[in-house]
Amino acid sequence: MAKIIVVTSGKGGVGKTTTSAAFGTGLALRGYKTVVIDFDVGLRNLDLVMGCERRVVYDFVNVVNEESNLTQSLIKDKRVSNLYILPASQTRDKDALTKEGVERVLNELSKEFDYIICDSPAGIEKGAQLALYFADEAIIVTNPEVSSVRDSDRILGILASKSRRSENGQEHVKEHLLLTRYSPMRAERGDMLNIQDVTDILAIPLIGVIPESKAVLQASNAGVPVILDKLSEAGQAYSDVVGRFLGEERPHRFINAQKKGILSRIFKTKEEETV
Amino acid sequence: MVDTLAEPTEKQSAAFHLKGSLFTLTVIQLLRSDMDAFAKQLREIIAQSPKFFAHAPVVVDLSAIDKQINDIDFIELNRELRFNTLVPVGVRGGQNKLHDQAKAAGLAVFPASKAEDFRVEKNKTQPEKKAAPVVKATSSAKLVTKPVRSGQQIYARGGDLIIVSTVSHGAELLADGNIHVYGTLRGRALAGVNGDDNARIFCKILDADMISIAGRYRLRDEKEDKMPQHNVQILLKDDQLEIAGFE
Repeated sequence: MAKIIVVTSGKGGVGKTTTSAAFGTGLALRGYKTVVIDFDVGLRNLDLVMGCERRVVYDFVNVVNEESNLTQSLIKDKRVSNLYILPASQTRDKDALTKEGVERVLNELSKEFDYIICDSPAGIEKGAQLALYFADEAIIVTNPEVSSVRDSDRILGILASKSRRSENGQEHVKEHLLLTRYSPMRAERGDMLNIQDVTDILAIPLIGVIPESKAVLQASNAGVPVILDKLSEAGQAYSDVVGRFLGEERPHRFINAQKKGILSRIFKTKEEETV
Repeated sequence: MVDTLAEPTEKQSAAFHLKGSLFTLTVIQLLRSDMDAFAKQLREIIAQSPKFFAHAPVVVDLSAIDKQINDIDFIELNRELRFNTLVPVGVRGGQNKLHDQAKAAGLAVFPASKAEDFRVEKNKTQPEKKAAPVVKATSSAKLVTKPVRSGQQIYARGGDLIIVSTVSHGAELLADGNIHVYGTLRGRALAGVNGDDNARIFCKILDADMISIAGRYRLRDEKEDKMPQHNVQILLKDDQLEIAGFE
């Protein structure tokens, strides 16, 4: 039986798809057979971030509607074995998904895979609700700013009341907080919420902090999950997240502002000027 | 009124299970048999807070009705309650002759209450409501152990609300009785929503968007008080909301 994990946030643009791609790739690198499903029907992005957009023939909606079978629709990643992608349809909308259809596809995938990652669309409407409905665990992606935290709080409420586990009176969906686009320097200056502020409000365990990094944008544009960029801080932070998810003890990194030496004070990097 | 039977012999094919359960119901204590007065007062009360009464099941308590009264128009009572979106379930207390009439009108008859606390209180602070069918707290508290998230609303009908977690911005707590928050209260908290002036809000850390007791409210913007405050209670004093510590 596969474990179903939803990556969700409420708010858009906080890093759900980046996280789904990196986290799914990380699990596959550890040897787990993993599939990442794009629930964002009509605004398909996952295939771009994972660099397989030209290989999409059939999509999630086709499988849900039984117009194709899973073997035809699953895209096998070329870089990482054990990793598969089920892309969303670009020409349909969220109404093309039905609860029964999604359940059937998830059940079928469950037989073969260890982990199923559901990349949720933004919002709290049907698409987002379907993406989280069948989840066993949830990664709540949050940026350190008030509107993102508020929306995450809202989605946590939906998770607690409208998931299959809550409706069946089963054990609660296990929640993990992932703080993304974190800039220790700006948090220290008070321009940004700090880690403590966010965990106080959301009151769920922190699984990781991904620092704001140019590597993320570069990776998305290149279609390579950022976790494969082992030199980048963001890539390393995502590796830590995967480790913690699998039960390893890993201290949080990249969460403190670096004390600058005299040289770096004089030769300010461009990044520091712009943030 | 304890959980009773689940028929042990039914097969897998059974269409339903029979179960006993305990419910919190709003009680309307009838003081007179005058249906016109009843209708007038009911409409006034519903108009004050229609949302709280929408489709609420109610039991009509007859124990305060004069023993000389032989007739109550239960059909009309039924009709009036339903017209005001309430769902009459049954009657309790009072004379047997009234019970037969209630049954004829399709109402259940509950055994009379043993507890004293169901009696209508002569409320000194609200003289205009002297003859009111007062909605009183009749049950134990509602306990919530999970965080109350933005967009969630929790209402403890007829009693206290106890939250052993945090309450987020954008969440709303409502109770007929007191509200206790053993965490940070960031959302809205409305105690005594059915007019209980004595209701209070207790909280470990107060950082609320809005607090209200019996309809008197205060928004965060209006506060000159420093927030957050630790270990406080909010009560009505001379018709004003007061945030106080514990002596």
